[in-house]
Amino acid sequence: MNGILLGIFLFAVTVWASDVLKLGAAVSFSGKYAKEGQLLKKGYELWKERVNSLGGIKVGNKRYRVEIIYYDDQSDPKTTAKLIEKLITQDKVRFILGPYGSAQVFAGAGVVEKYDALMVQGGGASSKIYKQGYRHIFGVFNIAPDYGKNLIDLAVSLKPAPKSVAIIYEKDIFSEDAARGALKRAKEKGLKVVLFESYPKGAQDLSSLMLKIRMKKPDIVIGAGHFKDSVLVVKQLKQFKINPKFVGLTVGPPVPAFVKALGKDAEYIFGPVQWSKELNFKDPIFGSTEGYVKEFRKMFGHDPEYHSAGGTAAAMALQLALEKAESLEVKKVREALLSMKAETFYGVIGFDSTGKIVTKKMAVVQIQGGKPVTVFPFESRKPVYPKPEWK
Amino acid sequence: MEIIVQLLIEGLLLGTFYAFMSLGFSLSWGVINILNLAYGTFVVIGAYMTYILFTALSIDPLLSIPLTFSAGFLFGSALQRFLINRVLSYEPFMVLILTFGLDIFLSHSLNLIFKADIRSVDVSYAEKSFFFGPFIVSQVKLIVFILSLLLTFALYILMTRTWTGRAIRAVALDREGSSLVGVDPSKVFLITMALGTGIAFSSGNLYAVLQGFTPFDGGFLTVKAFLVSIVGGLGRVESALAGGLFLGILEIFTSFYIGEEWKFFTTLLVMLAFLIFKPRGLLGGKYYAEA
Repeated sequence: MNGILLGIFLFAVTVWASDVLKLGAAVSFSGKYAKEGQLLKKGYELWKERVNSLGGIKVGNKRYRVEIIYYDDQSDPKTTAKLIEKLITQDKVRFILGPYGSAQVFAGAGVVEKYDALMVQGGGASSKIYKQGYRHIFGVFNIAPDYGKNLIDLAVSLKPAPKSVAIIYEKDIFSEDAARGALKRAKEKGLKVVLFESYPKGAQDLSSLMLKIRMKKPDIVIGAGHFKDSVLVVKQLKQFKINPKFVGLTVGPPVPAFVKALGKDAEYIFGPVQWSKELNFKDPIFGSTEGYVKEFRKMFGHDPEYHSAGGTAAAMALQLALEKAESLEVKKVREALLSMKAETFYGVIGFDSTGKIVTKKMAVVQIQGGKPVTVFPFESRKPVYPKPEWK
Repeated sequence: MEIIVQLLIEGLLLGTFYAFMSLGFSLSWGVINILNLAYGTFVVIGAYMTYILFTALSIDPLLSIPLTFSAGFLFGSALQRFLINRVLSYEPFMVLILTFGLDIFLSHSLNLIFKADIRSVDVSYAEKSFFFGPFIVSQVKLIVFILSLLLTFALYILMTRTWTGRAIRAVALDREGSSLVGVDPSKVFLITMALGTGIAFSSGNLYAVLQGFTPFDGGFLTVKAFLVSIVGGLGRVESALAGGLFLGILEIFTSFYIGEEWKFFTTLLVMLAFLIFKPRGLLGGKYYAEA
């Protein structure tokens, strides 16, 4: 009996929401950013399934089922731009869910702007994205300098206080931005900066940088890069037997693959996060942060981290704006985004006039026992410091 | 002072690999007089073969060197026999265009098969290091150094002590003269190309254990082989060693004292300087026309 009722209900829902709203995303499924890209897609997929099971997005009197068209940008910003152009011109998509990576977002943003489409993204944090005067790009990530700033803030709060810092970064708009955030904060806090140097994108051997760090013996090592860089930096720090008291890496530690790739060597490494599952907020479609984590685990078999959460949050911001605007017109949706102040599992989402989120803070996690745990600004566990030597 | 010695060690280790890696490029340039623009991608193909053998059959990347060498040898002979021979009689540009196209075709095929992901061959000895007093030597770099040196030496013996080696050198020195004494240049071309491609493929093994790689690494490697050949001079084993060491030390010192991001720039700048002021390289004499 229940089955029949459920059947009728589902049938009714499908008929009721037979209109389809197509969204598009060009995300890295291969290449340097594949790991992060796949996590981002999980965030989008979870949101899509959830929204569709609730009957779709309600825009005015109509309900729309959501479909997302995905393309693989191969971690190459030029390809991202081409694919987003294809989404807009050939697939007739007006609303773009963002790619992963600042350079990709940046490349895609120009195209979105050119066609007066709209992009909401949870994959790019470089502050450069918001300095172009773009009107149709919205982002749910705190800007990159916050990554570096939070790491330094945590490091200087620990005892015995660290005195010197080495900062190395990938030559990329996100990583450079993050590294400069760390540099600025380190100087403000009176730390001695013994090294501030970049390496080219895609570099696979950092021997000379490692030799320099080894010679200067800093208390803190900050590595600004992406997932692959983080793994490389840890491997080479170990290879060169460099033992700083504090190792902080911008992207990597919270990604599940980080512990998988490095095993025991991942222990006690710090990483800033845009979001933590230990937060506690109410949410319009998942009930709460906890509800989100549960749904995520049910669908993918592991806990969400911030790359996925960023994707869900970006898509949800778009959904809330569409519902509030009661229209599919880009102009009205944009206004709804600008005036938004919504509590979600991710935190409060609200944007300034440039399109960047201004209503939430970042946190820092540390790998302990193979899992990232939040240690800053609130301590779900005590941070382990100074870091024990490599085994 | 210590740091300079450390940098020299690093440069020596890296340079020997560059020397071995560039030998095939230098040979085909010096002997057949062609610039193989797909050379770097040949190295990358070797790296992917190593990767497959390692992940699917768990064959150690250093033990699969004979396998990749043989594959390269066959691939090189087929290439010479069916493609390059056909265009060799036209102006040199045709070979350039052919290898250029081949490079695009091969690297994009690799991208289709393996995706743009960075692959690496994670052997157990990759993370260990030896310590000699204040100096540090990565175990894997030391192994690659020794192997490169051995293979380079083997090639030196082949070139100086065997009939085939002498024939290759004879053709390089004087095409007409060597055919007068009964050496068939087209056969020598075939062997040279096969040997060169074998070297490229098998240096892919060493490349794969040294660092992660993607389908599009070929371009950089070709430029490196190009520089080694220009700096050292063409077609001779000892020239490649001189060029390789020069490049290795140059790269290490540039990244240390000027910055990692300037490495490629400096390399190209030095190449330009050599082309202008010393076009025949450190060890003089363009091989093909050498008296």
